[in-house]
Amino acid sequence: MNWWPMRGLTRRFTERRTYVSNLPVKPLPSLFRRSLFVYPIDLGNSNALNMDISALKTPHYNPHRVGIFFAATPRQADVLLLLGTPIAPLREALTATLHQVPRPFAAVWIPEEGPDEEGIYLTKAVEDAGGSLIATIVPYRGPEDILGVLRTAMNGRFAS
Amino acid sequence: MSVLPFLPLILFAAGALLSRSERLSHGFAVAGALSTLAAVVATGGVFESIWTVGSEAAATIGFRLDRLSSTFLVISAISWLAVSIPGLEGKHPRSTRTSLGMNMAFFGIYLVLTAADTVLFLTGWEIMTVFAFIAMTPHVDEPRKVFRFLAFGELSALLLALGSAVLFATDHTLSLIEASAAPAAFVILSSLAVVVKMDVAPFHTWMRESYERLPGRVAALMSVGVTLAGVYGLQRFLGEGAVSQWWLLTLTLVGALSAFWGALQAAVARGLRNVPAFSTVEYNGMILCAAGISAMAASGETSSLQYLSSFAAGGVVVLSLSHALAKSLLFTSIGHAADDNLFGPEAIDGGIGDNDSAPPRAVTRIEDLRGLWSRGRRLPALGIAVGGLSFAAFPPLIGFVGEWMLLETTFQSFRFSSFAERFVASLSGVFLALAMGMIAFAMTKYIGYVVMGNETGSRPSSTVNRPTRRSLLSAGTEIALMVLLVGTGVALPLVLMAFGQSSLLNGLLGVPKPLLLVSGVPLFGVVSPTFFAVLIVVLSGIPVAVWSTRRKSYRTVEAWHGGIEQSPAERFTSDAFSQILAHILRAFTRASVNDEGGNVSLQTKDGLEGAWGLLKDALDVVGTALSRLYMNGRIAWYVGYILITFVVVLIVGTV
Repeated sequence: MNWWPMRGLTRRFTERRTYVSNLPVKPLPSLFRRSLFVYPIDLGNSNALNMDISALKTPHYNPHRVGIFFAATPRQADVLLLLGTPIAPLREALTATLHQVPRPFAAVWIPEEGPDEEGIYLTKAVEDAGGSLIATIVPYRGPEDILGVLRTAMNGRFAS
Repeated sequence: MSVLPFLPLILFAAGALLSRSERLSHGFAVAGALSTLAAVVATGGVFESIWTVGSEAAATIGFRLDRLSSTFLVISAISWLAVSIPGLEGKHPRSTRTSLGMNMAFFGIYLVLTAADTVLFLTGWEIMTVFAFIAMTPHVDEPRKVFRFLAFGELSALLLALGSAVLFATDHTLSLIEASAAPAAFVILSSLAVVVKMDVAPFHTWMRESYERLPGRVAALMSVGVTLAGVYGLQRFLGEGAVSQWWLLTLTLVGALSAFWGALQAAVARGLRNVPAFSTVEYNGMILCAAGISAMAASGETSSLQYLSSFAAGGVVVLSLSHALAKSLLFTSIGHAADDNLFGPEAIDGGIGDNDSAPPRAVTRIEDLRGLWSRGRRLPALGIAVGGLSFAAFPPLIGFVGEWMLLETTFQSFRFSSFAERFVASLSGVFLALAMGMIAFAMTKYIGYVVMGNETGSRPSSTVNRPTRRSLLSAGTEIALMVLLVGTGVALPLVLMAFGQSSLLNGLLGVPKPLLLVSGVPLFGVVSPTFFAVLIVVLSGIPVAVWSTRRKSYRTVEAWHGGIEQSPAERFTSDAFSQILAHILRAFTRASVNDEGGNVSLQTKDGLEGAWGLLKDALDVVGTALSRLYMNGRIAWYVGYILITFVVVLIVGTV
């Protein structure tokens, strides 16, 4: 069995960039010391963001090398990636899901079309569930922005 | 000094006479128990006072103390103290019959434990049975529920009387001690009698309905005092003369099966007092099994079998002590928790008085006492937790050592020469291991719900945390029993030496003599409860110290109920906890789904209760038929009876 982060790097499948974001990012709760488990939630985006999440999982980005993993369920997640602007029918499901994430947790919002009044709703919903919205990625250019925000929040730990 | 062994009898009798005053009566019971301990200490556990009856020199009756009776006297006296001291608080109204019954039951048990002959033994046995029955009667709404106890008790007395008759007819002696070559029929009848009394399955079927409303102290008397007398009788009779192998095999297997059955019933029981009650069936089954293997090994020639015999006999003592301490603690704590106003003024320790026409609602189910710790009843909660942990064989409590000794005994089945003995000892080990697992499950449920569970929220908060009556004596008893449970576990070598079992102790691999308990010769297994306790304290102390000095950081999450919305009063009940076991083992638990208007629950039944019910129905049918046939109201038949009786008496008298 190969240890994927090393294999990806040694076989040159993986880029060697270290991402840093220029966006304002709040620090993670001090509870998170090492790796981060991330769970993306589609709030009704144009599907482009879903594609980007799939791209993030490829050997090219190889997020495991910096200690970022994708969780199988919200109950295993440290950070939620909120993709898109919440459409009305999904609000109830979003609230239920947020309450299933262990407290404290962090959330990163990618609004896709620029933030509006939904941002206030989302911040409140996340805080009501015991989490904190650490960053809103605007403007959004691609998966590297997500990695950048997460790496900045992790404060440079796990340098590749 | 020679008067001292008789003093407890006088004190118990005085306590019975003064039963109208609860405090005075229990005061005499406490004094009786203390004087019992004093008598054993003062006489050094050896005493004899024998009288010859009539002209026949062989017919002697009297009192005698030896190592076995002293051991059981000490254990019994501790349990008597535990059940009597809370009674000194005098807060149980209308308890005249209870006080009378308890004192006289102690009187009877004392007679049993000190009797040197079958006559006194039988007298004590009968007194114990009848007055234990009387102590229970005020606390059941229908006397019918405890009749079965009396029936089993009388069956036991009948078997004992038959055994005594056989002994007298063959050996011309009444003596229990000197009958070293007692006939097998005596041993079989007498040991069967005590097995009936020990609540071994299937003779436990009176318990479910009777225990439901018993106050803590009466339940402890039934569960500890009466069954201890049975265990003593078992050890006494099995030590008498040669016993046939098949009978010992039967006893061993019955013990193991009873342990399994009791543990299973405890695991699925719902009653607050039924779980400890069925654990009595389990524990006494284990004791019977140990006693059976001990007697089997005693007839062996090799030194390893002789050692195994004394090891198993030591196991009987340790199991008896651990049962007495832990069960007294459990029932005292339950009584303490249930008898103040925590659950409203209507629920007073078992609830029903002598002349109460309207029975108040009593605390009978596990769910009724749920969340004792969170309600602020810390001491009874701790008592139930420690007692329960001892039954779950949690080290370093003494229950752990007892069960370890029993398992080590069955592991050494290979030492027996005959296949039947090897097979039965191994098979018993299988059932005992299952029983120990299931009783751990039952105690997890019990501690988990009664002590650690959340309160159900159905009661007004004003009744919570405000016991109106001080129960200092109950509290003191609980603390003392907890200290004893831990202390006897940690200092087991001292206990074994005090009970004359020091041959089981040794030293090895840096553990100095006599801190090591050795299970077999040649060496088979060892445990040092003292070192084990030190190890536990050190090994658990380091993580606890590290944890307590560091910043606590952990994440919490709401429970997931499959997406189903819950009402605030909805809880995962103790019934739900045990339903998986009840369902999987439905062949034994006879679990069936009961649907009452959408309120679905799983009902379990004790199959053995049904078997006794069938027997009762059959006897009813036969009895009715016989009475119609022979008691038919015709004068000629009755004259015939009188004539036949006259002729029979004449012939017997002439012969």
